[in-house]
Amino acid sequence: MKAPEPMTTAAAGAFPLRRFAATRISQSIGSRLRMPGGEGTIEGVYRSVVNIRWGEGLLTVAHEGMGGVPNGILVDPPIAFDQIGLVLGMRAQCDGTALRVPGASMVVFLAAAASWSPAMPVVRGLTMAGRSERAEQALKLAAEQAPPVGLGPLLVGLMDGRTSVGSLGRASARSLAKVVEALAEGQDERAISAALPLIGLGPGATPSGDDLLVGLAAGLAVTDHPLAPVFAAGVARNARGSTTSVAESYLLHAGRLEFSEHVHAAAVAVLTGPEAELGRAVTAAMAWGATSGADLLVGLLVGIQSSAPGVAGRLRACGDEGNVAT
Amino acid sequence: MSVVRQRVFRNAYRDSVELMRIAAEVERFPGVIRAGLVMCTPANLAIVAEAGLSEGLDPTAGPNDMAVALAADDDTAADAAFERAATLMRGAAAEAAGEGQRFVPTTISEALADLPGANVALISTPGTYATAEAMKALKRGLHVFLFSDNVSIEDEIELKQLGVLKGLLVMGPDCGTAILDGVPLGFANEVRRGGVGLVGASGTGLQQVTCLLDAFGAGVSQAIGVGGRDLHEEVGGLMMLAALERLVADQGTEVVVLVSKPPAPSVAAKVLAAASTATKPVVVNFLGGDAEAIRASGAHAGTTFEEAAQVAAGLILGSPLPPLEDGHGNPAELAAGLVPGQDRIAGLYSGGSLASEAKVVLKGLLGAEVAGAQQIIDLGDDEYTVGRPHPMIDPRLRSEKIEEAGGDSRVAVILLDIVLGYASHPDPAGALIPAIEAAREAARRDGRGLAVVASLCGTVHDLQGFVGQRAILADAGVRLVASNARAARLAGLVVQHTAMRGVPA
Repeated sequence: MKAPEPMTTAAAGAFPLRRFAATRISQSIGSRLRMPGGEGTIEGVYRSVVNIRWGEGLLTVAHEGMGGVPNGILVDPPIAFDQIGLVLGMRAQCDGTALRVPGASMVVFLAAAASWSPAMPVVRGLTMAGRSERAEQALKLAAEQAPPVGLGPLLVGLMDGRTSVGSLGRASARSLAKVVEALAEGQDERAISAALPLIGLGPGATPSGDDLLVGLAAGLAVTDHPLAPVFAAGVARNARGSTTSVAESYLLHAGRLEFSEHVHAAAVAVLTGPEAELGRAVTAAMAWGATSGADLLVGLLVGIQSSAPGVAGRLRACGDEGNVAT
Repeated sequence: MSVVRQRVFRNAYRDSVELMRIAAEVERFPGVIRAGLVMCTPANLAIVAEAGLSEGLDPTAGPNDMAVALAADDDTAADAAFERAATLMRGAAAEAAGEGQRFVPTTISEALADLPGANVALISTPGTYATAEAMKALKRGLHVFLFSDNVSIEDEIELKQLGVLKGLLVMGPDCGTAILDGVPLGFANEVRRGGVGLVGASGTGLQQVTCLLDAFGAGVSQAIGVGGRDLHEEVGGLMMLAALERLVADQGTEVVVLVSKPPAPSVAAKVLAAASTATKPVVVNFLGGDAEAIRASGAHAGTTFEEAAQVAAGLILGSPLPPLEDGHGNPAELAAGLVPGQDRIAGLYSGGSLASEAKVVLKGLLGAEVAGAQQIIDLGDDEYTVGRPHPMIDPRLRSEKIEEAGGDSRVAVILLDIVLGYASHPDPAGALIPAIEAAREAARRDGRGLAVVASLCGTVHDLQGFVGQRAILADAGVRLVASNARAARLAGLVVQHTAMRGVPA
């Protein structure tokens, strides 16, 4: 009697060779990836994204349409990854010229890829009042589209000062208020400690608290806040093992002030874009994941105006236990 | 004695909305007292512990694992709930990964490669991306059903001009309803096929007319939504004119119905000029518009959605039709329990066009000043849907408003639309009953009566069950009439009745 085929072989047999061309590679991982001999394990397979455990970090292969990711390679054509026989635990190898998943006959050629920088650009020239005004404008637009779950209600609560933000929103607002106060007083260690309850907090593959912290780091980075590097690095240090792999990866890169392309776009649009572009950026941000966009925007918009008077107070009001349905 | 149990799912990810949906469903499971579904990060486990659901949790559960934690009446209930959770999660995973389903394309090109004969693209992306996707679809020769809103009027004009150039329909943006060759798109009802072709710049207006045609015994060949701005001056009725031309040429269409809020005068003139040259009868309902101008063009005027349906059905079926059953209601009977000072209608609508129709009917009945004082709200309007689904899907906001109206001593009548059909709530009538009963109880405690008047927009073939929905409302003492116009009129007559008799003692 013939022994059953291993699952990976059967899967490979069912699908033709899948050849992708890498279009862009994050500078953050490019040099590591182009060195021969790298190896990893498939950890997540989605329609547009494959996550590969690569050493201590996570390597993401994504469709070009997803936009740049700090730990990733973008590829074309946009063939659905979950349709080509990729199975969790499959081995991935890189010889410096191509990334291969032999079990699924998948090859990503690296040679023609452009290099993309995930480092957040700094936007200068705006006063605190100017930044705050623009962040408030974005907050209003975001609140109009906020989902009723995750930290969506907190966006609305911050905007109108009366909407119930739910238990997750209250817990997040309380921690965030403490972070903002500590940052304003130049207390980096206290800010990091205040941020710890947010790590891994909430639902989702990237818990809401983590998305918020990535957004906050981005807001601080784009405005060149003096504590941005030390705060973000401190949060990243503490994230190891305390949240999901995907969220941890984003926090680790945020710790180096590296962010996804869509975070760059949102941050820059909030600070510099004309009104129509701001609206588009907020709408696009809201489309990230189920609640990730809203969660991240809370952090981003607070980060951009973290030194403005009244921000911590509004957060404290949202975090008050008396904040219940109106 | 209740039990606390957990089940850990290793290396399992679900998005947050999915997690909360599954948790809510598990919590509703018989014998479950409370439940949570979380990724096992330390922060989330602390919350589980605070909720008293962590006792006995596998200590090896880590941040990449997901746990269902619950308190239940006993082990049997807990086991059954875990099985349900596992089933729901498998379903969610299959949905996310497309397991066991046909290939789901992610771009229009992929979709066309998978289904080369397709000729319509349904686009429901955030408005920012909708124009580009619609443009791609048009360039590939596809008609476009554009459900997305937040598309600029400049983009709408560009898309529609391209549509005209290529002989393609651009249904939308913000188009909620269409029935193409019997296939419902968006919010639509299960209506019989037949010879009436409709074009509507009005979502629930189109639904109301198609449902009433069905009730009159007539059927629908095509129902083409064109988006609420098509008859604005800037857009110029490009798609209403294009759709009219198609329906006139369509062999399956014998009578054409045009439905819209009042168009810009120049656009009305263009549309009526086109209607006057049509080789088929055309019925025009420009809500609150000039019926004489319509008749002067040779078209038939329908001043309400019901009248438009009745006229069109009569043209198809060959004779003027008797009114629908359900009568008109007796205002005196409904006003019987009201007390002095109850002189207001709270019209709490899920359909924007139905709310607009109610305003037009009330203005005709009560005069502009009194009608203007009534509270007719479209709860689907943007200002009410921030962070929550449309009231045709989620009844919570409307329930709150109904209860508020019950506590308002000036409210005499609560006026409602109940919209059935695809994409609507599975039990829209049943979902409102607790609020209606609470409103009545609040009024009773205050020594007041409270009338509730409603119309059902649907057909006996709709998924929610027309007869069952009607029975639920009737059992709760809701006065049901056959159309929205009649419901609005009945509510107006109740208010008028109380005023005329100097308010009952």
